[in-house]
Amino acid sequence: MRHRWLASYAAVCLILLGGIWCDRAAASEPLQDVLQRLEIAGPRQFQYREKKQMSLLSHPWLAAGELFLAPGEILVAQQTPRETLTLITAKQLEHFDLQRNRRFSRALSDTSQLQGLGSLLPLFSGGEGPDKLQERFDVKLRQRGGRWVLELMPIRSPRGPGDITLSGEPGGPADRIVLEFQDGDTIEWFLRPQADGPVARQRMLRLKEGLTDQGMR
Amino acid sequence: MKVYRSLRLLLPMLVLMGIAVWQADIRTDIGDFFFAKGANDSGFLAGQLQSEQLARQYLLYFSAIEDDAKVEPALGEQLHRAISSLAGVRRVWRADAADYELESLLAFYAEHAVGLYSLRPQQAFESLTDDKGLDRQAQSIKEALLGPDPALIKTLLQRDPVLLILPWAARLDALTLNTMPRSQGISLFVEVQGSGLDTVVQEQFQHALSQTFDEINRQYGGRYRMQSTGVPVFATAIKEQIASDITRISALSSIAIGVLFLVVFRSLLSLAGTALLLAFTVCCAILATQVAFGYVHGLALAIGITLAGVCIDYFIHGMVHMGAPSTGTRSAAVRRIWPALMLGGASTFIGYTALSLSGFPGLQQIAVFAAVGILVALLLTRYCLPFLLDQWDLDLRPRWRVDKLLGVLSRPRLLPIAAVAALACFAIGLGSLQWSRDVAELAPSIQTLKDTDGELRSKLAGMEPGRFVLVEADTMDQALVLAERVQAALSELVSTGELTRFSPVFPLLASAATQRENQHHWNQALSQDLQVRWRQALERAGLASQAFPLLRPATDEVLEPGALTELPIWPLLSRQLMSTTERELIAIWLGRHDPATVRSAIDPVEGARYFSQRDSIGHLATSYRETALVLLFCGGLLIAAMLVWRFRSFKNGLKAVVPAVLAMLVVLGGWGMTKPELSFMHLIGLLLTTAVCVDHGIFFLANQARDKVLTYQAIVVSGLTTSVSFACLGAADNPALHALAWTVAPGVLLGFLLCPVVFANETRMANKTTMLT
Repeated sequence: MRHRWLASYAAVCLILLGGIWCDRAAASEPLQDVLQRLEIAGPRQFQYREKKQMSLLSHPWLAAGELFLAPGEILVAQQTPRETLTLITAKQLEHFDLQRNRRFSRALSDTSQLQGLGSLLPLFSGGEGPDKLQERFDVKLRQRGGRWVLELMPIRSPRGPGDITLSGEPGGPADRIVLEFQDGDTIEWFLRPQADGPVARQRMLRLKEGLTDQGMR
Repeated sequence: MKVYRSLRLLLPMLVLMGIAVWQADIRTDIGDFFFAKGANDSGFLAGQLQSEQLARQYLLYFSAIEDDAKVEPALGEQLHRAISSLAGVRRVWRADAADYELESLLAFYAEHAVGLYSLRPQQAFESLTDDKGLDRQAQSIKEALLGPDPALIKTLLQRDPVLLILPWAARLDALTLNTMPRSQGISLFVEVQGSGLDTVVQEQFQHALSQTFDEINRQYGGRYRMQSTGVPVFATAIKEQIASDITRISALSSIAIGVLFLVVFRSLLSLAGTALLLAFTVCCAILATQVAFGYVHGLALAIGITLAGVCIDYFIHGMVHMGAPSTGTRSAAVRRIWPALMLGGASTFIGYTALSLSGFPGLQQIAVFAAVGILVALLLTRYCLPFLLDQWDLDLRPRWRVDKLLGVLSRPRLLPIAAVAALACFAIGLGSLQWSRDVAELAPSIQTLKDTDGELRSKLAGMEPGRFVLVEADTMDQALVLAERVQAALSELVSTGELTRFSPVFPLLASAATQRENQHHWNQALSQDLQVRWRQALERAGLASQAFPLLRPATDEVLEPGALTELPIWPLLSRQLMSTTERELIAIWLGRHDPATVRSAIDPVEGARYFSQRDSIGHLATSYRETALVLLFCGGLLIAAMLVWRFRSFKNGLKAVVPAVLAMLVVLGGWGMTKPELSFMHLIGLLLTTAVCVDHGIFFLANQARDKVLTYQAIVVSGLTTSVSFACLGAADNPALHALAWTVAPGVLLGFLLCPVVFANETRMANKTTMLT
């Protein structure tokens, strides 16, 4: 009986030590490398699923579509449950509800004030090295379940984004982004790379043209 | 002793000149010159141009030098901060609303969402509170929560549990905030503390602004450029142009007149004496205008000085007659020609007094200026000039003889030829004579600034500049009631596609009655049953009803215009709400439209009218011109009557006017042939030409020196001086001065050449008499 206790105790210790070792191993991967992987050099296209959990919603809300990341801009082409287009740049947020032909446009003073993916625009656009990132967030890089996990907790945020967690396969891009707000609401994004280079650029361009046409209407 | 006596006269003159320069409040605002203040269109235009707030605003546009390049947002923020910290800046705001501004706006209006819900409260709340309406609203809330900014929606829900602000924001979105055409640049409005028309302060600010921009732009490799517009920009440009015109014309005409005096009199002292008398005349005129109007307009000053320059005629006449060898004492010589001088002065005075009754403030100033100038010049010629010439012991005799010219021009058959030629010239040009409807064409030619202004303002909104619906009432609340009725009429036009868009005041503001009616209908609809049905609607939309605040009754608080002044929307709204001393005005700007359709749509709303700035200015110009023409005609008749009375002969009285009439016919024909659009300034020029030519006719006909050659000598010298000084105005950039130059210079030249032609018989008779004696 005593041996069994000892064995269990040793196993727990080993697991904990393993966990600590893994975390240390991940922590030993320089933040700079992860940030470089997140940085978008040219347009990239992803399939995405989005899950919103809000205290004001009776049930979690699910959406899916295409997500484009390009230097200085994020384009979200939601396909279900309804077709919408959202373009986020450093200066402007454009949102079109294609089915209702309703447009929302807003000039932005600072993308970090925007909730959701927009707050990650500087991260994806590059130029935000560890030092600059640490000015805005309390940054933690971990290894969990064999995946890298980057936790960003905002330092100053009166009404800005909540905690942001990005994670991905080792050596790979982020395939899951979780935004957790101060009131407990969360948004989860699951990303699957689909195309990059000219194909992504072409598709993104076509969608943006549609966005402009809508705006002109 | 002589020096002491001279000083006794000169010192008071210099002191008076000093007072005039010290006291003069010279203004360069074009509105002061063209529009009278009052409750009519002119008053509205004046108010709009002089609105304190608008006059203090700059619109700055920053764009990349390469056309299609986008401006970095950081530049906008940096400039915003740097310009806000400049001395004399009251506030700076972006032309497009930044997110924090939109948030503050929505947060403010969420408190008033019930009161500003609809212009038809009863139907609107009935529609909102039936089951379908509640479902629609719950669905809208869900969509907003799932939209790009859920945090904002959550904040708003605390103040406005049904989120009535959503339809409000949709209306606002359609009206103002999000209607900015996409442009690559950044627009900033800057409101300064000092008056926009205080050109000294504005020049300093503009200098600091340029320096600030240059410094920041250097950090971006000089990739950007700054364009600016606004009343202060125009004010400083106009001032610069008027100042540059005055310097250029003064220099040119001083040289020209100086050379002419040296050639004619070969005396520098004569030039100095005349210049002194002329400067004193101008200073007296400035002082009188300042006392009469409280200020002197720069344009009135420039034109008035030129008109007063005609007074040099009296000095020259006096000098020529005093310098003649046959003359006794100088005072006696002036006494002899005094009746003719007075008659000439009186005829000019009548002409300008008539013009001052036209109601055009610019002309009133010019008339007072010229009238005082004429009076002072006449008195100086009569009482000071002989005294000065005596003290300085000047012997001024023109070194020119005009006998040959007089001989050639006095040939008997020349008059019919000249008359036929003048009539033919007039007949050819008459068909092409056209009046300009735009007084703004007389303003300094600042076309580049106007183009920039149009370009920058077109980037801000798709409204047609200068055409709008104007609502007038005794109080702002009454005006708001009328504006709501206009809004209903214009909305109909938008729905039928006859108007692209317009900028109503609702939903930014509503009359107290509308706000109370909204509050009343909401409070009436609010019941326990509604609370239950609302929760059910939320559940049906997939929302967690228990997490939503309870619906609550509206307060009876009414939103007043004064409460909006600190909001980011105020700069836009303040361009629509205006107060004059007598009326409260609301302007509703219009997109593309057909004026007749808009006019008929708003016709039933008493107190509302369609207003076209350009048409109104045109009507004002036409009305001023027509009044001025009638008054000029009456003035002309009065002058003719005075001459008939003076010469005791109908024939002689009218004869004195003939050189002026022939010169006028030729000038009018010339205008028709060269096809400039005729303005007030052409009219003033015509009046001036007539005045000078009638003076010459009077001098020639009266011939009180009994020496036609001497009289004509004086006329030629003064006519040449006048022609040369007015021709110098042609070097100005200002179109008003151009109009004067090319009317007076040829007119006066023709006038003095025509004198011997018209009075050939009298000349020959006089010559015979001279030969006999």
